[in-house]
Amino acid sequence: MIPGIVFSNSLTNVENIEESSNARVPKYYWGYVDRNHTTSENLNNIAIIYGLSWAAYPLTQPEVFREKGSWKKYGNNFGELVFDRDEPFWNWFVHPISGSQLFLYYRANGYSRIDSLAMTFVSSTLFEFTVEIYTEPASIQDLFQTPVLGSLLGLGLENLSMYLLNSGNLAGKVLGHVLNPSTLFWFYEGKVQITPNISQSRINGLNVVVDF
Amino acid sequence: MKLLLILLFFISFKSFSFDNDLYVKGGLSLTQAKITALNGSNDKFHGIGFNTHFGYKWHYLDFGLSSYIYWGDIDNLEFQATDSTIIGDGKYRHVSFGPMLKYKFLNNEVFRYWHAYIGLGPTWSLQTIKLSNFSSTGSFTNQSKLTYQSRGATFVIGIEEELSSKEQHPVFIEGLFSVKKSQKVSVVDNQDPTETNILSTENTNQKIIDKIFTLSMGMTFF
Repeated sequence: MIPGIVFSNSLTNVENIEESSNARVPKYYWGYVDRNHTTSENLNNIAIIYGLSWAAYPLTQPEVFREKGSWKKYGNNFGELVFDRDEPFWNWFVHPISGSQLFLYYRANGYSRIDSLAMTFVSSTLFEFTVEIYTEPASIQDLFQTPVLGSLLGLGLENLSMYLLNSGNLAGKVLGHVLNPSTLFWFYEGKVQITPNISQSRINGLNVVVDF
Repeated sequence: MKLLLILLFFISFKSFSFDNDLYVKGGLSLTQAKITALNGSNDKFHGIGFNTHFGYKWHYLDFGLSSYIYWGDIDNLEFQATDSTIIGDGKYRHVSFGPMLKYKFLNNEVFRYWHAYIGLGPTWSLQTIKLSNFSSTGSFTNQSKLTYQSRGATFVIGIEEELSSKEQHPVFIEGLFSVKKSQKVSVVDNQDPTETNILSTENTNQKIIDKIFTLSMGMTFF
């Protein structure tokens, strides 16, 4: 049962809500809407993420970018593929978290789970082979673990954030948005507005508005 | 009536599994390995870990990329790196990647909905060893860690549920056996975990053979 949505045959729940003047009445239901995308939309989304990755990389690792990066290194690293020797902190934590947020960005834009994984693969591969090579060659671990571990982590964050957002309480909403920041932005397509249609003494219908 | 019964008979043989679709699977694993290193020393390793798979499933065939990660303790490993012969105990970490082609025996059920499969594929891996208690004949110190790259082959045999949709999260249980031989040995500076500083790399003449058995259980996530 979706919390906050009452169907006309559940009259006892209606009476309980009416009697309790302190009950929260949620305005929105948070979820995901899967749909098809045009090639133009796919390219736009990939381009946006690619641009953001060029901006984010020097901002998140300024010392590495400044001291270890160069265009000469970029040329030398182009096309190279290695096993990196990074600590598990980077390969099992940082990269999957990045992958999970990419996954959730594409989910917010209406991609199905498997399509979001595929788009995350494209975005992270572009980053590995054309952005991060400014400082180091492309890593086999990162190529696989960013999208795959990232999407599994993203799936968990998706389920948890939807549960929290639909909890109806302020703490749940704050934590839900923190775990899944893509739900805060205009491109998130899964927000459903719930408008109860109330007659004189009881709720007898629902208006549901979905913006896409 | 007879025609209808014949048609129903053929229709009932349709496999009610999800086919022609991408998937992501993951699982937990237990691993036991025998590492034959310097001077034929046999070192044993036990560990736990997890695995992830991304691939495409047809009806009988399944092709995907698999990654296995595990970690644990290793005792009495003998190793050669640059100018040092090293014997010691420590922590061992393994990550492998490789494509895998699997064939599923859909005409025979092991249990209800469960069918057996076999798979084969090449594999490339990176092993990292942080030694805590060791002796060294050269300049290797406890500020460094050893890594070596290997390549080999993996064979897998397992059983998996054949269900009508991925959303039911079919479960798999498999045993995986892989044999790998070392290619490159590196000594990496271990002082700053936020930086990766490779001190030396060499193509190794020593044959470090890993024979690994992994038991894994997992499911299809989506």
